[in-house]
Amino acid sequence: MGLEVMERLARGAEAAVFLVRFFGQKAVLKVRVPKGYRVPVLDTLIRAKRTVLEAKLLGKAYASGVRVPALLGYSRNASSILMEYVEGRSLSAVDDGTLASVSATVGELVGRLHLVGIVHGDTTPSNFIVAGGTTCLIDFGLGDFMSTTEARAVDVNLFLKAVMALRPSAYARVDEQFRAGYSHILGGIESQKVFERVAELRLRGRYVSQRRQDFLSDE
Amino acid sequence: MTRLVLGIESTAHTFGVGACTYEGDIVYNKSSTYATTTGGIHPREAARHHADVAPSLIRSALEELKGYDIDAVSVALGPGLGPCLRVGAVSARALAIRLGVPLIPVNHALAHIEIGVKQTVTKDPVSVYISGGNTALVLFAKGRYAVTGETLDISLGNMLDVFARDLGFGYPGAPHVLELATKGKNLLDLPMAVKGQDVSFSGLLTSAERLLKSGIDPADLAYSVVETSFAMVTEITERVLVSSGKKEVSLTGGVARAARLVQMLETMCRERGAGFSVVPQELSGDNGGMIAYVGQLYANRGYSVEIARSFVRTRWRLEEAPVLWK
Repeated sequence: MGLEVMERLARGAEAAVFLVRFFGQKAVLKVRVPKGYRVPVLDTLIRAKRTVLEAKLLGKAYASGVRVPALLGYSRNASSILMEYVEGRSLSAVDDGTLASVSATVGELVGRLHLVGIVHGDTTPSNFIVAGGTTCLIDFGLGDFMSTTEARAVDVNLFLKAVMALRPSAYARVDEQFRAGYSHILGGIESQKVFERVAELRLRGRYVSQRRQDFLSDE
Repeated sequence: MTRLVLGIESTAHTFGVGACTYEGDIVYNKSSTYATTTGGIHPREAARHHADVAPSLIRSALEELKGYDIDAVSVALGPGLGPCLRVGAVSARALAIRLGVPLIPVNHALAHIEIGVKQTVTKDPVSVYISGGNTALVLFAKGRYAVTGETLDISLGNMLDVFARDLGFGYPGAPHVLELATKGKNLLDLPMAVKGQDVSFSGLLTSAERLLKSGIDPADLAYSVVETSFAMVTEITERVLVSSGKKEVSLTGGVARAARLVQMLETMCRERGAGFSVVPQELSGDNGGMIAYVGQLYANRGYSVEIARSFVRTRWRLEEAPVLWK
């Protein structure tokens, strides 16, 4: 078989990700590992279902012209997905200037994905790979086929919120560029709906930190 | 005389009285739980139950703790059911006035979390707080406890209680479902809504109710509901464990009595190389002991509330509860 494991790239909660050599080419193998805490029937079912969903998301996105790793193959039984290895730097590791300069592209990328009826579910900067002139979105483990304003807003908010937390100095430019790129693809009306929902999401979040001092004793 | 802090719990179905020393030892913990033969909790009925049992529970506590010096009274002022909370609040205020000691407000959720953390090795775990009213994964960060993952609709315990009601059991119904589940053999494919670090149980419940009406074997159904919902909780716990980098998991709340859930979390932690601890049975459900325990943590720092300002707070969020001892 023309597949040889080179190194383990990551071990997440759900899956292990390996760098492999596939007929001489570098590729990525994502394996959903069995969980001893689940009864075997349920474990097998879950891993199979999610593997198939993730492969379909990747396939659909790639075929629709969204820059994601190309799907090379998947196995329902082995709950694993073989995909293109995208060599580049994670968006969480680039400098502020680069981050700001690719933000419009990132907005376009997310917009394109939403346009074809997919949400990613985990749009943190570390899931964007900057490779040469393009940006690629990886890890569709939490993705789904969905076109609701809410789900789209969660994707947009997650990215912007992470930038705000990690790169406050670049935030203003990133925010502006990302939104411009996003609405360029999704259109003014649809993107406006999403942005309005993002504002709502943030208000919902604010409630959490709103401390009321009703009955704190006077110290 | 050894000094004690008294604790009163009445947020939902249970009225409890507990007492804790300043060393953190719970020396007294008695309670009475409102139950039904059919149907769920009616807040007013539960409050009536509390009002009925409160005087005798408090009287016997004072009687038994005669050899101690009670120097503060703590009470769970929320979150919970308004009518129930008021019974505890009134009892605690009256006691504080009569004993001439300070009154300490305690957040009920914080008490469940802290009593679980007490059992841990690192004292900094991912807390899995699961009860009739709550399903939340909690971390300590920036001076307070914050929910990092939770149910987006009903709690796990609530889902099991409602499903128990569909099966014809009264309240609390979850133990009946767990019992029935051990007799099931065939796993049915139920919807599993895991969204990042959050879960949702309403789809699972609706689907189970539909299957029940269609004549599926109730034991198989109970088995599937339990296996699926517990696996969902274990999955988000693992995700929070990985993303937070914590080294330990603490299971707390009434559903911590579910052996299968304990087993699943234990297995996950072992496979992950993380520590695991579970709250003792007598302190898992709602109880006065855990309120007294947190009351003591506050009392140690001289924290109290004026009686005139000791309002109940039905929606008191965990994040808003002050943590002065970490």
